[in-house]
Formats: sequence, C-alpha cells, structure tokens
Amino acid sequence: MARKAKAKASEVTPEEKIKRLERKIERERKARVDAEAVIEEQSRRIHEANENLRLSNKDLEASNEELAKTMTQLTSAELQRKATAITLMVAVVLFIISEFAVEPVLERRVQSTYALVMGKLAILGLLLPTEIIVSRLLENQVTNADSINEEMYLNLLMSAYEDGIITDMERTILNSSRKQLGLSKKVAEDLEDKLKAMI
Amino acid sequence: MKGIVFREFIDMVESTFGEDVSDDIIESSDLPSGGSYTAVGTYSHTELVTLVVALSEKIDVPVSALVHAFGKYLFGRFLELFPVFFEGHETSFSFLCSIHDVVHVEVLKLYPEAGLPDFIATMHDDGQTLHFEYHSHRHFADLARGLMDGAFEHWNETVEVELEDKSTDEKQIILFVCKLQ
Repeated sequence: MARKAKAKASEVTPEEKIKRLERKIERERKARVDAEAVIEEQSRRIHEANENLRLSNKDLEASNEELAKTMTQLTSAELQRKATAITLMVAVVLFIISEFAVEPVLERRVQSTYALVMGKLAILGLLLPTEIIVSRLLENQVTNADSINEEMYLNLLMSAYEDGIITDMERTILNSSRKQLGLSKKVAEDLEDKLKAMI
Repeated sequence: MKGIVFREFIDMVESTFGEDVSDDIIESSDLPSGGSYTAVGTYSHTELVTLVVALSEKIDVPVSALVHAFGKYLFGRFLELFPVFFEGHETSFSFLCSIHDVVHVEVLKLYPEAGLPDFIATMHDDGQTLHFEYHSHRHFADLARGLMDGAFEHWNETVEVELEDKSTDEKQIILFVCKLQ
C-alpha cells in the first residue's frame, strides 16, 4: 500500500513538485520562526528568574549580616555576664579569707588598736589589686574579638553536634561560618576536638 | 502535546512513505498549526489524531496499527536522542518502571506545562510479570503499546501482553499485564 502511495506521488508534474516543495519550505520556515519565539520567551523567563534570584540573594546576605551582628552582641553579653559572676566570686572568696581566716588571727595576736587597723589596711591593700587584676583580665577577654568569635563557633559546633553527627549540610555551614568568623582551620579543629572530648 | 512527537511523526511518514504523502496528509487536514512543527513547541494532541486519521485513509491502514507502529518508531528515536534514560537498565521492565518516576520528572523540569500520561508500574512474581497501567485523557494507549513493544525488542525479550480496559468517561485507563516468556 505504501508502494501504491509512492507510485501515485511519482506521477506528479514538475510544477506540482515545486509547489509541494514550496509548501514544505514554508512549513519549515514557520517552524523555525515558532522555535525562535519559544526560545526568546524562555530566555526572558530565565532572565527574570535570575534577576529574582539575585535580589533574594541580596536580601539573604543582608539578613545574614544582621544575624551575625546579633550573635556577636549576644555572645559578648554572655561573656560579660560570666566575667561579672567570676569577679563577684573572687571578691566573695577574698572577703571570706580576710574576714574569717586572717582577721581573727590578727585580732588575737595584735593587742594595739593602731597596729590592728594598720594590719587590716595592709590586707586590704594586698587584696584590692588582686581583684582589680582579675577583673581586668576578664574584661580583656570580653572585648577580645577572637574570643567572641571562638565562642560563637563553639556555639555553632554544639548545635551541630546536638544529634551526635555532623551532616554534609552542617559541615558546609560550619566551614563557611568559620571563614566568616575569621578563625583558622587549626583553631576550629582544636575547638571541635575539645567539644568532642566533652561529649 | 510536545512538538517533538509531531516532528518525529512527520519524519517517520516522510522516511517511510515519502515526502509527497506527508505533504498530502498535511494539506488535506485542517490543522491550527498549518502542519509546521518545532520540537520545542507545544501543540494540541488532536492535530496528531487528525494526521493519523488522514494517513490511515491515504494508505488504507487502520489507525490503531499506525499509532502502534509510530510508538515503536518513537522508542528507537528516544533511544537515539536521550540515551541517558536507557543506561543502566538490564530489562525492559526495569526501564518501564522508571518512566513515571525518572523520565517524566526530567521532562517536567524542562517543560513544566507538559501534560504527560500517567504510568503506574508494579512488578510481580520476582520480576517475571509487570502490571503497566496507562492513564490519559488523550487515548493514546496504542502509542504506549508501541513504545512498550519497542522496548521489548530493544532488550531482546519475548513478552506476552494482555489488555484490560478500565477506562472511565473522562480518561482512558488500560492495564497491560506483561509476562516475560
């Protein structure tokens, strides 16, 4: 049957053949134009999608910065709280030592009131610088950016290790945070080892 | 329906029956697209039905036989054009099972608006029997069957296929029960 159709077709005159070919060319031309229109439309859509991606990326970066700032503030406040607590504890300990250990001894041994007052002043003179040194040291720690960043990284590590394993996603986040916080690989590894030893 | 199906159909008609036949059936049919198709376009599936019916009248072969033959031809073309979907499949059943969850997912990534038929494939008897259910409102189960036969041929398998018509008013549902011989 196919042969029959072919046989019929071969009977066409040259003029008829030209007409057929012209029609075919016209169809092909139209198909090409349609294809170009589709591609143009797709390019436009891709461009729009790209533009949207760029904008939301910008938004993300801004919120990321905001988040980092908040985290620094929080971590710094946390360290400040710790420092205050330690300073207070040192003061209490020093007070107890002077009040219950040193002073009763002095009172028993030293009879003259003058000498006693002088002795107490001497103890105070010794204790005060100790406390000042301790609080200075702690304050130094609190305002030290490195220690804040390390503390922040440690917090991230702890939340990552909450379920006991680090997923690929968590590792990627940790690595990019490490770079953002400006911590060296060595410091980060040490922190991680320290945390692992703790759990 | 994706333009690639139309292009392949015209190409098959041209290579099998000659350019004059394809010109005749396009000219004798009233097609919204005018019979010019691009692979990246989308056209109403009724145009394909019109073309197949015109070809059937022209060469005096039943429509279902033509659609089936086109399905087999299309499988060979897909194999050439998209070999990645066929790699790693040792049997036709394994490939058929991947159509809905792998091939069509990829097609939808490129053409989110593509209206694809549903293929629900379930394996039985340790991979010896495959229940392959075709769901579509386009009524091209014969095309699906042609594609399946193309697959059986490609993997050198003899498969006995029984049909069960479960069609509803809105769509054609055909269950192909395929038994590996």
